[in-house]
Amino acid sequence: MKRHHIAAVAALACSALALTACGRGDDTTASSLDACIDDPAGCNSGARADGGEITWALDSSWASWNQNTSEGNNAYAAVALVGMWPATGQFNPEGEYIVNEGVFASAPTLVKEDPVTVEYTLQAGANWGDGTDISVDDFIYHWYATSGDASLCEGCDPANITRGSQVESITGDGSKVTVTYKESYHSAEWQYEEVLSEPAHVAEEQGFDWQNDPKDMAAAEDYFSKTVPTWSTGPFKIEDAKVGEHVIYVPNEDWAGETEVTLDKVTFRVIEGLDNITTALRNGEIDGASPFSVNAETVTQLQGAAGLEYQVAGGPSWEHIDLNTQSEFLSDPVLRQAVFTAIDVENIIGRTYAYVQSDIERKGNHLFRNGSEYYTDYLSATGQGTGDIELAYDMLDEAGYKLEDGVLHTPDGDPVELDFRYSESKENRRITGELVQSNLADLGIDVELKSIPDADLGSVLGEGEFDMIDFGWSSEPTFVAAASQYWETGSGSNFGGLSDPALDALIAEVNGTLDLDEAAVRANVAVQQVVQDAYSLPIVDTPVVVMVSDRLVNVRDNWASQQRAAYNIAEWGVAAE
Amino acid sequence: MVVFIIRRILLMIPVLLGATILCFVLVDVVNDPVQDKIFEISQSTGEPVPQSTIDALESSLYYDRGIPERYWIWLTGIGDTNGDIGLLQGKWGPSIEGSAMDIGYEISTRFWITLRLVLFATIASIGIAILAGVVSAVKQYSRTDYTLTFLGFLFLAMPIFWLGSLFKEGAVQLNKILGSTVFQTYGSGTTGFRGNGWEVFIDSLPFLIVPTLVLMLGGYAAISRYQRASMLEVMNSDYVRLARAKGVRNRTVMRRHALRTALIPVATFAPLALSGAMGGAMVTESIFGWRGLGVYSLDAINAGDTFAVMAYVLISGVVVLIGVLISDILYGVLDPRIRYE
Amino acid sequence: MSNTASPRLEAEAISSKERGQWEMVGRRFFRHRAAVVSLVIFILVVLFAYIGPFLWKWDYKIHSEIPSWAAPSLDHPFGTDKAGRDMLGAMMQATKQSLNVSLVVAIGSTVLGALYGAVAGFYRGWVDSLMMRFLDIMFVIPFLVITGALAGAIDTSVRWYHMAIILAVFGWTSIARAVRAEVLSLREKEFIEAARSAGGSDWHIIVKHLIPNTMSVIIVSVTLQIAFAILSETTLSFLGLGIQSPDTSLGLLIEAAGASAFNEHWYLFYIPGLMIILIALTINFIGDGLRDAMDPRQTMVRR
Repeated sequence: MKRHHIAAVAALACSALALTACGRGDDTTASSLDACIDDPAGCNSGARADGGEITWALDSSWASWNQNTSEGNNAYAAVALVGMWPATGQFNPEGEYIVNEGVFASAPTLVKEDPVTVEYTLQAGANWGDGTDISVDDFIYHWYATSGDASLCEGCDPANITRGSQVESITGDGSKVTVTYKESYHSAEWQYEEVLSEPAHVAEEQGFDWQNDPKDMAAAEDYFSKTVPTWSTGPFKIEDAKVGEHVIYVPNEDWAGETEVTLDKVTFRVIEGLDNITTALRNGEIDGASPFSVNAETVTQLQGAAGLEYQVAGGPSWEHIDLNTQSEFLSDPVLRQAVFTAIDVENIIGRTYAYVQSDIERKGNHLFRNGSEYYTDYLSATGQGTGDIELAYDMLDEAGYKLEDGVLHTPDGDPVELDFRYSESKENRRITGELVQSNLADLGIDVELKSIPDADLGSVLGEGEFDMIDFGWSSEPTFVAAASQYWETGSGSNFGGLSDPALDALIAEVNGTLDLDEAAVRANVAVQQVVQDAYSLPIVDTPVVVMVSDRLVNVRDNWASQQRAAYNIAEWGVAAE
Repeated sequence: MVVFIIRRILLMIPVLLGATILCFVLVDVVNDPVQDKIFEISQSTGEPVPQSTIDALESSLYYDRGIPERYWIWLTGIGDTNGDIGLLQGKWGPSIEGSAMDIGYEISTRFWITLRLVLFATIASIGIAILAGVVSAVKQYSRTDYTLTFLGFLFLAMPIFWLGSLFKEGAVQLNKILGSTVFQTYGSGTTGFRGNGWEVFIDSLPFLIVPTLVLMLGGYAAISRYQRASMLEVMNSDYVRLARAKGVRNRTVMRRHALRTALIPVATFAPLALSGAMGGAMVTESIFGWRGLGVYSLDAINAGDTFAVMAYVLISGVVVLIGVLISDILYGVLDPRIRYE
Repeated sequence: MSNTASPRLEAEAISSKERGQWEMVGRRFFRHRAAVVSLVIFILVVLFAYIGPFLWKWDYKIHSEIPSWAAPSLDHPFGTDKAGRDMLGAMMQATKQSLNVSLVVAIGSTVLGALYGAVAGFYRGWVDSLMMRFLDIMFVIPFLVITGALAGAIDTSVRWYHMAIILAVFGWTSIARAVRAEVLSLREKEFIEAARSAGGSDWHIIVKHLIPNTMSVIIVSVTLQIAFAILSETTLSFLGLGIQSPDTSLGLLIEAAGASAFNEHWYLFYIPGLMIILIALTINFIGDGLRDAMDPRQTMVRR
């Protein structure tokens, strides 16, 4: 579950499936967004006209230009900087990893397993758009910035240090750069690690002695936070920008990638609120957007509008109900299993998310998306989420729970009462709560619905002020770090306080291999254990919408990328007549 | 006069201090933005946030201190600071949003955006209100008077957010009929537009018209009733009757004698209306996506961004107080019966 | 002729004394046509909100047998929304909760403001100037910002009574000013002098003599407070800083209707909007009528 920035995308995106629509100027069968169900990486493709401008709306703002720092770690900054950022690569909508063609000549290679040593080969002529080539110093700069080590960067506040703190050394010469990790580093996702961020030579030009002085290093990070990046490693470079408001791109002539850029100008502007975005699109003020939410009202608006297309599909996060294993009643795993069994997930989906996405499916695995090669449904077999009240009641009966006057009592004779918490602005989560309330009423459990002000979700989770809670996790194709973050004893994001030594051991094994397939197999074993623990009940991949003017081609949504539809910005274009 | 102004300005200081203390305590006690921020980061990276980052965040936002100390530092900047805080030294303090968001810069650029919106709306609403008020008064108890009075009541009763949503969607429909995007629905100007003042103004027209109309109708109602009452009072006064009795033409009486005097209350009311409208622009700004002061305060409230809320409270307080002051001064200048010693 | 005229005049004078001040006010009020019509409409709105739910077959909740997005018909005069909610039922509930808020605010803020203003005006001197400085402070604090910040900070969902309390706590300043001005002139009057010499305590004088004599100011401000409260509450709810589910409000209904003013779901947008206008409009007319009726300088000209 790491961030994946993309600046540029390999020409590979013209995948075999889409070949008919790619690269043929006389193409008459340009597909539409409707084709995305069968062809997620090739839909809406078509021949591009030379030139054209696109204005794209972002549904929220960002406050820093430096994605290394905690304040710059923001999904909207990731989209806004998509045209210039030196990402390692990113996943396409089919879940395939594509290396950034503007920076790297090939995928990184594992040259040694113990300690893990990875070699990167730079693209010939990969540069910062200001005449300076990308070099080993830039790799070292990124390491220092994300090390969390005060002797390298004093007073920095990196958003995460999982990789940065594990680097032992970085050496390089010309186009080859070798990263050596510490003994403790064992991620099967070594090839996806981010290794570049800001240009070291710019820091030096600004007078920061970042290599030797950790305070200067922090000052350089601060400088990059506040400075609009005029350098670029991507297909576009920033012509004009204001933090949190807009970014205007023009093509970057020095880009080392091979994909041909046809657009003259791409503008990202912030329009807050789904209604405002839809209205602006209908009014022709913007050409498209891929906001992080969708509601039925938006779909109605889009249906009635001419000249645009839209598609609703599972997005980059997933909904789930978590139980607090530290709470008075739910510390008993039997009650947890019974509660999950009594909840009718299909019914919840039918009355909420199915309104906006008719082909939506129940999510059956915490770590792998439905349809992924590693996906197996371990949930249905256990009866969790089926709404089978009798099965649930039998479990409770066996454990000594009693129904008296229609109220469930613990073996000790206390009546069972639970609360259900959700973010107040999320209508679907409220309805989910109401349906859970009615499901559990059949078990004799009284559920109190308590909404959470949107800004307080973090503190409610952090302080464990809930029995049941409905919220979302990000669902990118990476999974190795996710298991330990969600479920490991004592993890800061293990909000329900699960502590299962058997599970901890399984999670350690996921982290103990460098082979991705093997890690996935082990991760699935951990998933089975979590299902046994009845800790977290997945519901769906949260639907999101992409809406575009039908004059655009090669614009499609990508759940697997934080940049969503902007993941292939180099290929974006205006349809040829 | 000068003494009067200075005295009034000095009196503003304790009022502003009191208002900032009250707001600071209320806003600060109920929010814990650092924790929310940390949760946001961990959700976005999918990895735990290092403790050193949490500590750095707390200390950079001064959340490692108590509320009294935070207020003192915010006000004076005296004490153990990072050198980015202290109102008396011209520093507004750090924003939760991030170090690239300079509160002082945001406030000053957004001030002009809001002023542009409010100035046109207020001028237009005063103009229309004077016209309607005078017509109403001259034709007292006529059908026109009743219609105008009713319209005034109607706009007074109309929630701005409803009117704004209606006009916004109406503009979209009008565009559809016209076949081109004449009216823009979001923002205050073309993204990234650069130019001199006149060019910026011309560029902003498609964005400006609809929200101005909305704000104007909201402000019109109160002033027109004011104007009607003051016009009626003047028309019934002795000197107007005298002028009429002397045989001066009705039109001349109205223009020379009645209207001129009847405008005094409205003129003194104008600065108050302007400063009031700057506060009321919050709704219009948020509907039409103007990045003005109102929306800034709304975002700051939602984020629990105390220093940003304080900056807004201070600016709007100063604007209101100056509005009151100018209004009082105008009253003295325009009305010969009043003298300040 | 003079013989007959004189006793009639006397009779009228006597009987008008018997009618009393409030009856006079009532008579004057009922000559104000717009105010009377408004009063009738407002009473109908109140009945709609508080009695309506007992008479209408649907409540404000989601029912699976209600189709989503049905246009207004006999079964659903105000149509239905997406989730399957009868909008007539929802309107009754929303109107009730918005009225609840505005009535509590009107009464709460008036009691607070009247007491504050009366105390300040009664004691004068440093008490008065201190209390007036505090009013200045309240005046300077932006109303929507501070109420929004407090409502946004409530830990669970914001219910209508949270909103009512917050609006009342910050909405009393105009009444305090008006009452203080009245009291400043009243306190020099003979009957206050008399009450004081009869040994009445300060509190007794304020509550029993001063406040009742400012009743005309207070009654007018109560009515205007209702309009003020309903507009602020719906505005805050629209901005997402006000009432939250499971409670509802007219502002929330409009916010949920979104940009549907010109599409097939137009009724979701116009009906709650018109209800707010109806309430605020009638209240303003009633307030206007009351003011005219209680103003002794008022001539009996029909308006």
